[in-house]
Amino acid sequence: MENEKFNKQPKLLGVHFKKIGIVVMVLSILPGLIIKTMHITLMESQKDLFKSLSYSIFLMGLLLIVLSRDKEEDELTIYIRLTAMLDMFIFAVIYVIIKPLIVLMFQSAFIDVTGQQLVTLMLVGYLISYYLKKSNR
Amino acid sequence: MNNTLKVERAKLNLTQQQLADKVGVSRQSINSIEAERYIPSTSLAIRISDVFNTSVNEIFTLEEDD
Repeated sequence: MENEKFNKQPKLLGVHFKKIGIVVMVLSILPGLIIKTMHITLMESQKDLFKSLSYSIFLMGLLLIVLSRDKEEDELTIYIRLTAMLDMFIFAVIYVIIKPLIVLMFQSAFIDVTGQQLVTLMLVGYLISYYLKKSNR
Repeated sequence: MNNTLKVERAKLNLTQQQLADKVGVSRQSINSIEAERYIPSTSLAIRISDVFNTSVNEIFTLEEDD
């Protein structure tokens, strides 16, 4: 039926992807820690590439956690997911709108956030918002 | 939206968990519906009314500003 298109539950990853996500996040941090503790020196270009790669892998882990389903998933949790995502979407849009104003007001780049950092903020913010709303249900 | 879910549940001597299991949602969802923090979907409202062998309108009623 045509209406069934709108009634389908969102496709989320399995519960075990939460653990996989955590492992991926830890693995993304581990090489950086090893390099620091072992005092391995990298070239400047290698450093940038390494940092960028580690951050991307970290984000992938975070995304896996965000997109994995809970053990108990029903229409209320889907509603909470939606509101938490909406909160973060609005936050990102407002941030992008007011960012130039803040930079202009303070004449500084201290508030400058890269795309990767904004995505991290959104994903972490989503998780915090989701679990807070879920605990208050 | 108001509901008489708690009363109906008490009549059948059902716990929130038992009702949740019958309609296929979590206990927290039933708790949120009872506390009127969450309005269930049409299909869930029908499933709930089926458990109590009554109509949806008998359990869920609209407020003036709904």
